[in-house]
Amino acid sequence: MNHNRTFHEDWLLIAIGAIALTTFAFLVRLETEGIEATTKPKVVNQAKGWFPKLEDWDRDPARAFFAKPKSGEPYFLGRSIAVTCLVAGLMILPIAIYKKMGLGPFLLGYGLLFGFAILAFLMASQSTVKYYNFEYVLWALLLGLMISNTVGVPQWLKPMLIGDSIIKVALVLLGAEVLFGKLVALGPPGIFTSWLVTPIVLITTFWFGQRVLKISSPSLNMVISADMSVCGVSAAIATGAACRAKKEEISYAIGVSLLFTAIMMVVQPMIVSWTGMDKVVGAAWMGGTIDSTGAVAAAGAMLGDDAAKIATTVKMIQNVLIGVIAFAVAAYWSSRYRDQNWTDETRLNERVGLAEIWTRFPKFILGFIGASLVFSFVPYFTSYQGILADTITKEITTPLRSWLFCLAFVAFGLETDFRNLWRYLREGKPLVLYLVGQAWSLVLSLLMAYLMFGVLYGDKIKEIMAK
Amino acid sequence: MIVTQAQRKARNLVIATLLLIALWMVVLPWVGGLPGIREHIQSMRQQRIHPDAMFYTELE
Repeated sequence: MNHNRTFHEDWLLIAIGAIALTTFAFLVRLETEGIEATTKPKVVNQAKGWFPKLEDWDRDPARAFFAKPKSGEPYFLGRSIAVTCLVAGLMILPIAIYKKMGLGPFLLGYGLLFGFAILAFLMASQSTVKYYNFEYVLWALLLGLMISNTVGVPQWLKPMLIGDSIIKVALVLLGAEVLFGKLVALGPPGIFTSWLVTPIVLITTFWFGQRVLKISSPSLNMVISADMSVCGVSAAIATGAACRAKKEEISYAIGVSLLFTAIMMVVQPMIVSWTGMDKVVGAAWMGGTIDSTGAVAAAGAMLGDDAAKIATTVKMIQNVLIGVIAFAVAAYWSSRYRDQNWTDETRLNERVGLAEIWTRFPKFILGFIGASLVFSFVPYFTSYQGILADTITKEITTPLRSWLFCLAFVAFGLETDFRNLWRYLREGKPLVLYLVGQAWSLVLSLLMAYLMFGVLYGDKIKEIMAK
Repeated sequence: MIVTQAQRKARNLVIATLLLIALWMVVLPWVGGLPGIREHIQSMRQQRIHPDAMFYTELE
């Protein structure tokens, strides 16, 4: 792939994401007529239920396909799955056309990828797997790996292995979820704990990986550092795409993160309880350190409702940082490395001009940031406490981009030689990087959480929670 | 009997598939039934918490 091709393709991917977001924005509207200024308007979402999330199951996988609404009877998700297949297919079709793929191979290849995506979600929704945070991307990857490393990928399927492009479209959709208004949810303590500690941990861990451990691949170093310090899988995907990390590198970082998140999710609440730590401080600490957002909610809930709210809010504020981090990583990489092989050999020693940086800059990041800015600041989306932006993202784009991520990771697995993944597992240095970075994050986050949620703003936070 | 490379690959896929089925249909449900783990699952279900949420928008 040359730069020229990447340049054009990224604009196409941004256009696909933008058209999808605009369409969804038209499908959701507010009914404001006759309401008081102080009350929230009713939201009418014509796309509600289009993109399903499979239900959890214990022993019978068929239960995954029957939605259990808060009220009313369970219903079959077949129609929603068909709609998802159609919409995701329509979003991927222009990429296939751009890559000069025939309609027949596209339909066949896409059908197979989608089948594997359903299977990956089915595996992820088994209750033991789901409630210990082993997310669908891991199983999507595993299914792909299983095929590519046993019978191999048939020739007719190879053109459909466009996980890189699918993931960028999904990241543009993810941009709409990065709402800057969420930053003020907890005031200064939330911002300090999430937005001060996180970049410090990210930069120092990356520096440690480069200078002390001398990890051979800077992109692997960056993906692990971001994954561990920001918000787990989503950060690994966003920064991995921003610094053009190899599929194996993103996969490795995600695997390690999910494994340790499952452990931290159980152990950290125990530490807070055993040490008699203030639950508010403990919750903020967990919010700042546990990689995955869902695992933070689970860990917080083990300490009570208030702790769950504080932990998830701190994590939510940290989630928003993903936009800034991805942009910064893309800009840094474009100015420091010469070509696609981001190694020490291709590192630039001389300063490069803005024009050169722009040429190398992964343009899809602009779509990601643009979506975030539009959904965060355009009054149409932010009025009534952002109810419209929340509805579009929570009910439409979030489940849809999950399916796109899943499809991309099936493709990644199908493209990955297990021996390349095994190399990282055997090397040991990336694991040391994760462990050292996480230990550093635990210490620094605890200090900041204690200072902000214990000493400076402890009483104010407790007052807010009491209300 | 001579086993061709294609047959060996197909056999590996069948073995991997069977292992996955056994893991998901037998081992994981058994693990999920162990006392501490069952309580954790039930508690999460009751509170409608999704530990598998990748981003805050996936939380209820």
